[in-house]
Amino acid sequence: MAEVARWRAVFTDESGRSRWLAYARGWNERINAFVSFADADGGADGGADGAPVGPLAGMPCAVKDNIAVAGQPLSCGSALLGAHVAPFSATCVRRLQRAGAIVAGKTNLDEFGMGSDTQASVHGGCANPWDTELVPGGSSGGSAAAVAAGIVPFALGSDTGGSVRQPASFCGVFGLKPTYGVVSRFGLVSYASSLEVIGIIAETPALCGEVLEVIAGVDEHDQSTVAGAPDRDEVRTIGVPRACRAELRDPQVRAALDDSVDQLGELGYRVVDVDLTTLRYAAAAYYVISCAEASANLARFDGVRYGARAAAESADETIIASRSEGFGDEVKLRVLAGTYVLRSGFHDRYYLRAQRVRTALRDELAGLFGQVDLLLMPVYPVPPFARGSARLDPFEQKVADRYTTVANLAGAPAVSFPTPQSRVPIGMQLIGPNFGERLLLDVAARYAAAHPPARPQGYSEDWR
Amino acid sequence: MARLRFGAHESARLEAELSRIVDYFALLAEADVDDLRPTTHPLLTGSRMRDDEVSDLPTAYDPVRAAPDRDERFIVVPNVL
Repeated sequence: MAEVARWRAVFTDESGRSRWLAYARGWNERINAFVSFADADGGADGGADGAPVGPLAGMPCAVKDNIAVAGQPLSCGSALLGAHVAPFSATCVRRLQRAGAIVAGKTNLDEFGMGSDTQASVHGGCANPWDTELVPGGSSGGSAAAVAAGIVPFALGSDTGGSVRQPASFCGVFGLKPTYGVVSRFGLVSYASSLEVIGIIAETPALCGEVLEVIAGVDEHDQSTVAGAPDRDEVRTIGVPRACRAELRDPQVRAALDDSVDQLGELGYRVVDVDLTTLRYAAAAYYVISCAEASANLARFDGVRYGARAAAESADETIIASRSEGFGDEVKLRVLAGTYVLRSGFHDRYYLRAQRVRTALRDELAGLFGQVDLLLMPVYPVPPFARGSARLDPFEQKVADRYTTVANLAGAPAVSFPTPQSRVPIGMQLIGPNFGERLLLDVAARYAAAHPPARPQGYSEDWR
Repeated sequence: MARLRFGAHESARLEAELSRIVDYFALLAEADVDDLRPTTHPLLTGSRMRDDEVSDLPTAYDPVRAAPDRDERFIVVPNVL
C-alpha cells in the first residue's frame, strides 16, 4: 500500500524525525491535538539492527491519553492525575510496538473520556483541523484531529458511547469501534467497563483493519476479551432505521444520510427501511449505565497512591479535597448522577430498568440482523459545532449521542466513514453483527474508493 | 457517597444539570421491558482461569514511585486513626 510505505520512512533517521516534529508542532499550535510527544524511539521493538520489524514496522501512531504507554504521561485530561507517568503499557500498545509501530505521542481528550467535544481537558481544548473555530468532536478528539491533519496515519481512541466514531466523523476520517471484548482493555483507564472498547481512527478503512489485526485477541489480563467470527461472510442488504430519517432536523446531516443511501445503492447494496423502536431510549439507558459504572470506577482516584494530592488534615479530608479539586465539572456531574441512580430505593427504577432496555435493544438488533446484514445511521444529529460559549451544551451533547450509543449498549461493532458532500466533515456509521468488523470495513473501503475523502487545508505529505 | 464537596456556586450549577439528566432518565419509565432480564455485560463468556504457574506480569513495577508523597519505600498519608 502506497500510503503505508510513505509513512514507514518517516522515522528511519533523525532528519525524518525532525521533519515530522516540525510538521506535528506546526499543527499542534493551532489544534492542540497532542498533549505530549514521545522520545525518539517511541518504544517500538527492534530487530537485530535495532530497526523496527513487523507488519507495522516504522509506522508512527498516536495514543489517546487514557491508554497507558510505559514511560509516557497518562493524564486522562484530568488535573487529578497531574503529571502521572504510566508505569506499564496497555496490552494493545505492547502489541502495536511488537508489530513495529512507534507511539509518537499522547492525544487530547475530554477528562476521563466524558464528553463529545474535547474541550473539557486540563490541557485546554482541542480544535478541528478543518476549521479551528469548530470542535473536533470527542472524547477522542485529539486522536481524530491528529489523523485528519496528517500527523499520524492512525491513532488509538476509546469508544464508550461514540468517542471514536463521533470525532472521526467530525474530522473527516475513519473510526472503528470493534465488537466489545475483541480488543483488550488492560491499560485503558476505566470509565464504563461494560460499554467501552479501544478503537482505531485511521486515514483509510484498510489501515483500520491492519491495526485491528495487530491489537485484537484474547488477553489473560482482561477477563472480558473474546475471539469470534461473524455469522455471515458478505453484505447484501443494509437497513436504515425509519426513526433516523423522520427525526433528523439538520439539513446537512439529513442530506448526507439520503445521499449515502443512494451511493450505497449505486455500489450494489440493497438499502431498505427498518424499524428500531428502542433507539428512542438508547441515550437515556446509556447515561444511566455509564454514570453508574463511572461512579464506581472513579472511586479509585483518591490522591493517595498517584496523581495530585490536596493538602488536608485527615485521611478522609485528603481524599475528598483531592477529588473535589482534581475532577472537572462534567466528571463530578457523572459521578453524582451515577451515585444517585445506584442509591438504594432508586436502583430498580433507573439502573435495572436501563439494563432491561439494554436487553430489549440487543434483542431488537439481533432480530434486525436476521433481515439485513448491516445498519446505516448518522453518527451525530448535527455537524461539527462551534467552540466556546455557542457550543452545544453538555446536556444537548448527551441526547445527541443516541445514534452512537446503540452499538455500545449492544456490544456490536461499528465504523464511521466520511461522506463527501458537505462544507464541513459529516460522517455516517455502519453497525454490524458481532465480530463483523471485516464486513463493515469492506463496505467502507468500497464507499471510500467511489467517494474519496477530502483533506483539510494545511494537510501536507511533502515533508514525509 | 461520591466523596465530593462543592462550593455554593458550584452546587447550584451542578444541581440544575443533575436535575436535567435525572428528568431525562424518566423517559425509561415508558419502555415496555418489565418481563426482560437485565443485561449486565454484552458478551459474557464465563470465567476464564489461567494455569497456576508463576509468570511475569506487565504490572510488576514499583508502585511507591508514583505516589505524590513518599518516604523511601513508604507512601506518606495523614493519620488514618
